[in-house]
Amino acid sequence: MLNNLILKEIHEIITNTRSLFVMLICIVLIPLGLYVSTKEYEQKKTAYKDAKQMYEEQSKSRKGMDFIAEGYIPPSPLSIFSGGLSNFMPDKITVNNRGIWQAEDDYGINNPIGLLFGKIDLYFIITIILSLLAFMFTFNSITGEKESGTLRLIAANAVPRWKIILAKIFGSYIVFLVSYLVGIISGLVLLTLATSVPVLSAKYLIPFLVIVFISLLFLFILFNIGILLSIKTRSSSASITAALLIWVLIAIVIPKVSPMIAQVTYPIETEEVINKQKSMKRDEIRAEFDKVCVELMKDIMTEHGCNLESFDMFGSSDPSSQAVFAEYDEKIVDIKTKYEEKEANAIDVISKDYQNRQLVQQNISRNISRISPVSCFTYLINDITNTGQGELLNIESNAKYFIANTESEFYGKLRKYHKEYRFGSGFISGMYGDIDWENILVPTLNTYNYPSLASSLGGNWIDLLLVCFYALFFFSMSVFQFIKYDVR
Amino acid sequence: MLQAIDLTKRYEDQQLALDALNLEIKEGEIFILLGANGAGKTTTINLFLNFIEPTRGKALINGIDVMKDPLESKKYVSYVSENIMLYGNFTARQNLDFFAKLGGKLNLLKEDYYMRMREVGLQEEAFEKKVKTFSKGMRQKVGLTIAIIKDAPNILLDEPTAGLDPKAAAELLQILLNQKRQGKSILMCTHDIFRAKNIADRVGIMKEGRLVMVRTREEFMEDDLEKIYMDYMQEMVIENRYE
Repeated sequence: MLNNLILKEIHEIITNTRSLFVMLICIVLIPLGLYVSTKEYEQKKTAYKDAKQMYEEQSKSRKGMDFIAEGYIPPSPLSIFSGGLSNFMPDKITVNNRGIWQAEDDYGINNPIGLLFGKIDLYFIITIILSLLAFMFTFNSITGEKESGTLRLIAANAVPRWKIILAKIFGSYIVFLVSYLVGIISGLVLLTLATSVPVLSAKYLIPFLVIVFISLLFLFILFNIGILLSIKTRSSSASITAALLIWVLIAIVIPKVSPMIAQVTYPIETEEVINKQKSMKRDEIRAEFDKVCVELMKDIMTEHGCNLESFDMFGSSDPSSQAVFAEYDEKIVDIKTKYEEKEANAIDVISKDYQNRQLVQQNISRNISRISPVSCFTYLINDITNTGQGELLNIESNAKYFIANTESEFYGKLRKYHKEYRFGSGFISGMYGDIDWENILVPTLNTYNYPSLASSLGGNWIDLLLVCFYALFFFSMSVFQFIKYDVR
Repeated sequence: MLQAIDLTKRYEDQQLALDALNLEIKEGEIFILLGANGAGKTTTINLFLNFIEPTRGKALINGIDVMKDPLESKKYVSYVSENIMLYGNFTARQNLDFFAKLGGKLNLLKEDYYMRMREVGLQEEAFEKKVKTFSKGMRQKVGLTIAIIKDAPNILLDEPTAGLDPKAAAELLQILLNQKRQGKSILMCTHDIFRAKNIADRVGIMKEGRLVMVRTREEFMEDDLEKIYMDYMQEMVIENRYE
């Protein structure tokens, strides 16, 4: 009997123009979205390779302690499925000889219009277009049958209610699924034939299958919400109004309003303010250091019986001045190191405090937005494709690896040849000795590690769990509400 | 056999839709319920089909309590509703096939459906046509075929002739008489007193949820049924005016 009901449902849907429209959208948009994203990825990869090569060539003649090492970040291969934050992500990490790193955006944006309207990648197609179509597919699944009187005819037979609703849910879902999977397979075929990306290799295919599986769960949630709305409303016109309102709420309002709520409930300063705070702290410590330097010099001068009027500041010929400078240079080393550490620690405290507060705000926003299944799906997919919030933390761990690498392979080797000599009251520095430049290579970020699929899923277990929960919750709600449904 | 024992329905808004209905429709009998809108006719059918739960009393189909065992009771009843739309994109035969299988008739052949459709007077060329192209009369005939093909011993009909032209209505009633001859118990709700007189074995008049009068065929053929019915309706109009 369930088979009969499901077959009827499938038959009814495929004879409706809506299913033809969905099939058309899936067959055209999914391959197109995948193709455009892949082409964009290929362009970014070329830009990455060019930038890295130019840096390596140009830097050969600029090696030295004041050299700024640049590590170029390759575009995420999985960004062909979801662009996420990739256009706003830094594309290189710079490191100086003191191990201070910065993430910078170097390539720029060629066509801002594309960003203005948003990209049609697989993620966009699923969360915006297919989610809306899922509602359009189901909004009158119950009200439509009630209006045509067929629901009464079905219910007048010895058919359990749960079978009627299961047939409704799975019948319409199967038709939608076929259109979606046809679109997905067409997309894979197109990518294989028309691009250089080996999309059928395990590196792409396994995460892609995981994305497809999660998207099926996500679409199942929307199907059940659509059917639930059809159960809870009295007519098809009321169902479509409710479906559109709910779609706007879960696909647009909740995800966009959550960061605003987080900003209001937990306000934090802008990065500019924090940079000013760091600069002020740096100036304060340096002023303190300068003061200590002056005091130290005065003490040493007094010890040597020198006075300021007779003191040769350049110390070129006066032996007593040279003795003062020698003692000063010896004693200042420890003090300088202490103040450098103090400055680094103070800056680190400000940075970490800001990062923690940023994290709190982001978590508030993330947790509020999780009311919507669209948000959970977004976090999951973008972290799987390494284009989400998690990637910002991943850049930091790669930067640490790059810092260690540049220190051991570049700055560490050069430091042996780097000397500072006193010249009057100042210093001159340079590279001295027989340096083997051939063995000191320009530091590059040869291996940029993206998180594995398992760690992306593990890091987003809450969202994965929520997607499963929403699927089960709305499915159960649809079934239980229909069992009590007034078919009259 | 259809039985209503003290069958009462009071809705959540406290409106009394059906007040202690006692009724028994035997095999081979056509019972017609007459009454104005809101008199309780459709509520009676809804209670027999377990679409709503009674506040008190019970409805029995072939001795099975509809409330206690709704699925079992529905095996013994067919239903024809008012202004049925069916699945517009399905052909008449496909609609029949779906509902026949729901009714437990799993092994019917195309020819069986054709035969039944011929019996209700549906034109041959309509069998494989999509139902959305059908007139109301044609749709109603398909609806009746769905009820007949189930071959249940009881048939419930809710305003089956509403909106039909006289010829189509007469054809539909003829089919009901055939069903009666096969021993089916038939309960039909209608406003159409003239057609009721033609086929009913008994007629009941409902007013404000109560079955206020029952007449056998012999009785209502002797009495002026139209006058009795109009008097009840008139009374109701006057009562409503002074309320």
